[in-house]
Amino acid sequence: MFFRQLLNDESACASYLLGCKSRGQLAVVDPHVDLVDQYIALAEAQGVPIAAVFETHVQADHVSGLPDLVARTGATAYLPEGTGVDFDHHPLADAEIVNVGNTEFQALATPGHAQAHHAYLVTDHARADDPWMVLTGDALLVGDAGRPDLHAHGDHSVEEMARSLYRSLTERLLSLPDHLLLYPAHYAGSVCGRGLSGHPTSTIGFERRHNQALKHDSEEAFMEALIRDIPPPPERQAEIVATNRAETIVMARNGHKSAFAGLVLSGARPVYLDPVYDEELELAHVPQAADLAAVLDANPEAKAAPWDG
Amino acid sequence: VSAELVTPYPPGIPTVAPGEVYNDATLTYLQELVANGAFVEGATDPTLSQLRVTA
Repeated sequence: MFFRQLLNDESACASYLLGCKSRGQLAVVDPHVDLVDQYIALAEAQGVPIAAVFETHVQADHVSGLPDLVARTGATAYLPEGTGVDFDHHPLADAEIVNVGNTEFQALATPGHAQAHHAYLVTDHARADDPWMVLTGDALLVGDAGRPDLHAHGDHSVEEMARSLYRSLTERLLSLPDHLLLYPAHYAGSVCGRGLSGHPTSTIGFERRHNQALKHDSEEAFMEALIRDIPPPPERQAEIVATNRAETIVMARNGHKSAFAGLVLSGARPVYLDPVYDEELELAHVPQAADLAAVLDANPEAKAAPWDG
Repeated sequence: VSAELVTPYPPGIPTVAPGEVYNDATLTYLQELVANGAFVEGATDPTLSQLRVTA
């Protein structure tokens, strides 16, 4: 088995390049946009292609390297079902298994930080048929549980997300054996948890004994502690999430420059609706329904914002 | 291919957005505006004697 943890100290993000050298396939988990060259260079140095890219969830604190990595390697993108992203991917159901050579990834639905969040249980079948490690994303970090507020909205209040996370931790992750290695998506310096360790690796057993967030004996106590002292949200959170979902927006081409600035801020990709210029009146008419229909047919993934016309 | 959002202001509707290709009509239009004293926003060089492009 091949395994490398790649860190980005600026956002305190941990990502992973791992897989099977003998069967010639590697996977990347939670890629950071600034590390794409490094994943590719490391894989090339091993002479093994990257065949799969996994996200534990749609990140809110940093831009993902997944679209770039998939475009450059032809790998399959795997995300938890229900993320709402606008690009081709394989949505993983709970307990679904993906084999990357001899290395098995099993999705473990662990909602709470995000509603659509999977941990990945990794088994190296070249050594044993028991899982060896778990990539916990933002559900369980080294020293804390993930924050419940970043993806909370509508029906999923911060309190509900915290309760959901409690069940994910106690019923899913803490039901795993103590010896499992634990690899999180963040470490000390990240806004995604409080009092995180600077050591981005642990075990299920060590966290079970020493993680402060796991010391509560009831869902209520856990929830109250988790929503207390939540760190400030990441800067540019909304734009990062929009970028990571790769949203496409239908926009009139003759809009104000502020709309274009909005594209830059949100990371959304525009498809333009061309204005109809009236030579006689010397003005542009409002966008036509037929033109909008044509643009939506050609770009089925695009979202159209309502406007007053 | 423009690397800038070049916008005569007023009215504030970009003539060329990043990623769009300049053609003779857009160049002539922008140069005429500048020659007549109009204000063009978003260009690194407001006189438009130089334009920032990606290719």
